[in-house]
Amino acid sequence: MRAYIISRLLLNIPVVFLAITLVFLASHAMTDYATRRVASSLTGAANLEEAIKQVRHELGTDRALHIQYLDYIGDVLRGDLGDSLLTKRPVLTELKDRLPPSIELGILDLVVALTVSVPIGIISAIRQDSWIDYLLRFLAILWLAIPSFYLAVILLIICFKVIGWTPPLTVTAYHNFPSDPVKNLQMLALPAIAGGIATGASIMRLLRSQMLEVLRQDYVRTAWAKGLRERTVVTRHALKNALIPVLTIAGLLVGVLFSGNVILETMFSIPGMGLFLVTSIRQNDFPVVDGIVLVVAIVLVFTNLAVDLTYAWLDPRIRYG
Amino acid sequence: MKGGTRVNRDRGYWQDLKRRRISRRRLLAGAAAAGAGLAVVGLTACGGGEEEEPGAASPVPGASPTSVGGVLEPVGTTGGFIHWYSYESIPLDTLDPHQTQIGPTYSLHSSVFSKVLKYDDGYAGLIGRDLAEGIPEIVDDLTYVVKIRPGATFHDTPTIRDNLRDIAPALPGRELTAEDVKYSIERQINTDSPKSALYYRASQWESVDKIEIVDDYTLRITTKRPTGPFIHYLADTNAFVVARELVDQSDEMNDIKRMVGTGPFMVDRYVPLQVSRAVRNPVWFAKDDLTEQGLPNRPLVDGYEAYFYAGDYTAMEAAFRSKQVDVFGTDDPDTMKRLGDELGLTVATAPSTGFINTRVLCDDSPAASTPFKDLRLRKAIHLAVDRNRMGQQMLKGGFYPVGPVSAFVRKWGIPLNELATKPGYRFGTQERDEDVAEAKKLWEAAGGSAVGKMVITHAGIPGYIKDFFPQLQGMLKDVLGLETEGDLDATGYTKLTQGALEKRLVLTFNFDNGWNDLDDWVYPYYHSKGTKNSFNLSDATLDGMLEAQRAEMDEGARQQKGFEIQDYLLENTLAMICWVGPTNPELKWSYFRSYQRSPWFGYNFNLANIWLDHDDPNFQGRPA
Amino acid sequence: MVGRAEEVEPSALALEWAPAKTPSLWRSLGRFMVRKPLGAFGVTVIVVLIVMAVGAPVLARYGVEETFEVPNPAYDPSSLDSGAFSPTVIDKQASPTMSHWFGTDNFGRDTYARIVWGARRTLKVGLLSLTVGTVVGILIGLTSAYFSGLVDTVVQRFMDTFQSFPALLFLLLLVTVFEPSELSLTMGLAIVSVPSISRIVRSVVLQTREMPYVEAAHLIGASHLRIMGRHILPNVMAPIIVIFTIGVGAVILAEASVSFLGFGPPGISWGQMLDTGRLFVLTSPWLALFSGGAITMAVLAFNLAGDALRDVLDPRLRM
Repeated sequence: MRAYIISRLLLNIPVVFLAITLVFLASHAMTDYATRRVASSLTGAANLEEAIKQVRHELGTDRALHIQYLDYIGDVLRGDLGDSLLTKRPVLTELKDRLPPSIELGILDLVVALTVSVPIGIISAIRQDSWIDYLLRFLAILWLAIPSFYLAVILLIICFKVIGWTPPLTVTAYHNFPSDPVKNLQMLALPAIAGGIATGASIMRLLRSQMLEVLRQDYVRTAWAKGLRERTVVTRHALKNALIPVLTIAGLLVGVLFSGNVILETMFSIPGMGLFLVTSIRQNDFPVVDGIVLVVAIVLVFTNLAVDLTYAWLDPRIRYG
Repeated sequence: MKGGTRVNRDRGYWQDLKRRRISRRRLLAGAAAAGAGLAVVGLTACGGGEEEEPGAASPVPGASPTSVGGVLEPVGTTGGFIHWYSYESIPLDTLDPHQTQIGPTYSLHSSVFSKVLKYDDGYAGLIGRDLAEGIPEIVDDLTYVVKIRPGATFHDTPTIRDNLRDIAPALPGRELTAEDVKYSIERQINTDSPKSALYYRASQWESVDKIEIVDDYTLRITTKRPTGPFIHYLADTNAFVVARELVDQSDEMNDIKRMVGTGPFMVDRYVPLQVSRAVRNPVWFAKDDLTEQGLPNRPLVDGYEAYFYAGDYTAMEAAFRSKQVDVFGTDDPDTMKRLGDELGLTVATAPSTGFINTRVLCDDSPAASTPFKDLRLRKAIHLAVDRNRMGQQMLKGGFYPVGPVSAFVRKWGIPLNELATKPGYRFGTQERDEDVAEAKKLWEAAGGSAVGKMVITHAGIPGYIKDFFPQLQGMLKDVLGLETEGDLDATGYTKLTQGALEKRLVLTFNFDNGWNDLDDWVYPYYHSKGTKNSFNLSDATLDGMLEAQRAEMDEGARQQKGFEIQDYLLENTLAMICWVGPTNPELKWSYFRSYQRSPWFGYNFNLANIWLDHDDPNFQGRPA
Repeated sequence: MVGRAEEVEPSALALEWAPAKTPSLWRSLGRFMVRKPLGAFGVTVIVVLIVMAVGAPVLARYGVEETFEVPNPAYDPSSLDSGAFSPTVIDKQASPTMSHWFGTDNFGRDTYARIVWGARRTLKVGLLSLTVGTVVGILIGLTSAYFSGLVDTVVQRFMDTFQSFPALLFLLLLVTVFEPSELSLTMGLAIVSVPSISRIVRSVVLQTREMPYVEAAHLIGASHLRIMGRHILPNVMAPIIVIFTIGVGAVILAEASVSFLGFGPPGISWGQMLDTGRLFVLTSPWLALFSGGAITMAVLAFNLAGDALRDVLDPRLRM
């Protein structure tokens, strides 16, 4: 097992570097357009040429590319992602402030997604080809197609027309969970439900097909033959094994959750990373944008690593395979 | 004009609101310092539906219907913090009070710094005292004797002392003197400064010949020539008085710690893009100026909190409903009315002097040639476009037509009822048909069909300009047959400012600043040597009129000259075709008293008059 | 798709010996419609979308920027109030009527007309980006798998990393660096779809490469190119068609997301319509409902069609 861990870790190091390089290229190949955008909004220079020069100097893009690259790698490894052009504070500090709401939303998303998708996936599998199955599968297809932001709009309409309530929608109304759980959940409820339902669709489909696979296996048939109750068969034998590939998806889900949250956070004014990304783009605060992209990329690499390892831990065949 | 604080108490004044809301897409950086002077911080909401305050008499005939001002109400209860939306905490160009061009930024400054004089009522154009004892005495049309009130001290709190310990340890608590005033003016015309290009009010102060210090509280300012608007210069939005100690070696004070002045509020907390909070200055030199009007010991609140607006309408509505903010305005007049009806509050409008316009290159420049040398072609465009539809679509129906000087700058602009009779500004169906027919005729007569495809450079911010642009193209094509192509300046103003400087833009479509005084509205734009003359316009008659206006010391005569200039511009120039400007419907809670609204940014000192009525039933449930 | 490679059905092997013979197109289509009603529905909607895009000038009833005005109930010629001095107002945010099937938007433009015109952006960006992405993906997948070894591992790791990276983030990054235009968005979406295509191609190639007949072709002396073109490529086609179809759905969703946030290219887009619509969704939900519905229908159609195609063409791909 240890050998496996080490080998996976080593394999991921070049990937991390790859990610850093890609982000570097995207961000430091500052096109004329990008520089002009920053120049026009963020300097007090008297004219455009001076502003562009100033921006290039501030961002360091007036140096040779390889020098910038080395500097960049060094900075990133030290945890210095530059300073926000707007607030002049380190990007990492700004990100840290915004992380908790996004994490919370992501967790709630996942909770909703699992709550919705697991039972439906199971039911759909064990009642395969019944009318329930067809109905649920059709619903899942619809789920997959419906954009989470559309679902959110529909939920807003329903909330307003049926319950007569809309969630508080200012960034300043946001209270984190410890300080005021009720208000906190009020703000996060709709985006979590909309995002969770949308994500739940793919989980449900995967779970269903995995369950079907597993239910066909010999050892399950043996369990049936032994006369075990349905519930036992399903949970004790089938579900565990079916969950393994679902875990693979979990790694992908972090990425999906984050991008889904960008839109939902913007819609519902949740002061998390997603909203921060959008406002930074609007305000041409490029170091922040690049910083967020880099952080997400690195987090993803490590999430995939964690998934790999969990996978290996759960399924011994892989460790030694 | 006599000295003393002037409060407008005419009949027919409505309770209007002055908070500006800027949508996330409507933020504009300031125009380039060298003064192509285009789009400045965009602003806001609009929408009609203003309502008359119960009991108010009908408007003074001939005046614009939403004549504005604001009613001061004798104080009932004091204390509490004002909560409102503002873009004060936006960290764009610089925090330096004389170098920034961002409206919300100099709104922050107007809480913290004082000026020699100030506009008591931006709409009526009434100037009153701030630091000065009264309106300066004018000697020989050239010399102004400015007397500063003693006892104006720079903010002093333990935090400020801490902040300034390494920068200006002697400043907190020090008295402001004539020397500070002299410094603040001379700084802006100091050509040796590395920042000299950024002082975009330099063209105002360039009229100063010399400043002599008579004693600690008295200065004599001598101008090079008779300058009618000089008193206005001392009261203008950015005419702050700052302490020399706060300016760093590169001639900049771009740091929130250095925002220490003598104004009614002191910076308490400033988180960029989140919140700007200021607390009451208990020793404000002007605190008892309004005791007669029932407002002693100002400011009457403990401070204010300005939240950075990062959501959208639904967010703001929710915050307003729950009284997390005391006042807000938005785009959609129908929803505002609905909300107002539901909450039992009246919607009031506060038209801004910012306006949407099209600049036309009137004569060939080294950088571009133009087909619009013929006035008839420009007139045709001026008549062809339907301002009604423009206002309805861009500004959701909350709009007013705008002439060369906004009608809401009541001292100088052609009044609305008169403007509404002029071609292009007439909205009746028959008149509109006549104007369109005239447009077609002029276009044909001047050879409009030979004009090929034209490029219109337009701003991407405010968003409604970008959204409306295809409609503008449609109108020009349908009426005149003019094919156009859009060149979007997504950044808001880079292409526009640069292009304007180089006199390269043949046609534009953008949002522009409004001004307090006639001189700022016309001279820099239309004078052949004007810093904002991007039209390459050179008209000797007009130059003469503009110079005469500037040299005219009698206000009545100057007003007259102003009207003549505007008539001339509409008849013979049309270098800048002025379209429409927003009204800003706003709602405020009934406990929010003594609120005056203003036509543009930079009037935060009026927050000192506001008090929160704890006894008002609506005050229940307001979060602290 | 871990662990799938071993589970090749024997019957598929047998088929590989002879060059594939396609049955008559109409016959297949007919059978497809009957056996897969959902897929048929999807295909129908796709056809409708294409018709909408192509026939917009005729079908839309009105122009894309055409504004409608109605008399102003508050008109008062003697008044100077901004609500009263114009005799007409734009017919904004109207509910569906016979003249405006989907109602009007905040500019008084017909929503139905704009949805029809908006189909052009949807299809153009969707189909074009995926076409480019497929071509590139095939090239990468083919070469990477065929040459295997270090090249393959590196490319695969790269593709894996890229695929797990949220597409929206990448697109937003592109928007900051390049001016938003249909071209840059299309290219961005093409790039985003490359990894999944290349992965499919690669796995098929890996399977096919081990086939005895490929070895035989080697022995005979067939060139790499001929082997790739003659033997491997045809097997790749079926899964590619499936991925392509489903991919268009994903790309449409991505384009709508980017436009929804306001970073899309200028011009009419359903995503941007939804963004506008949600601003007044509580008073006049029609714009939001119909534009969001259009996006959902488009994505749904491609997903259903893709699913059905997959069931028919290559059940091995079933998740």
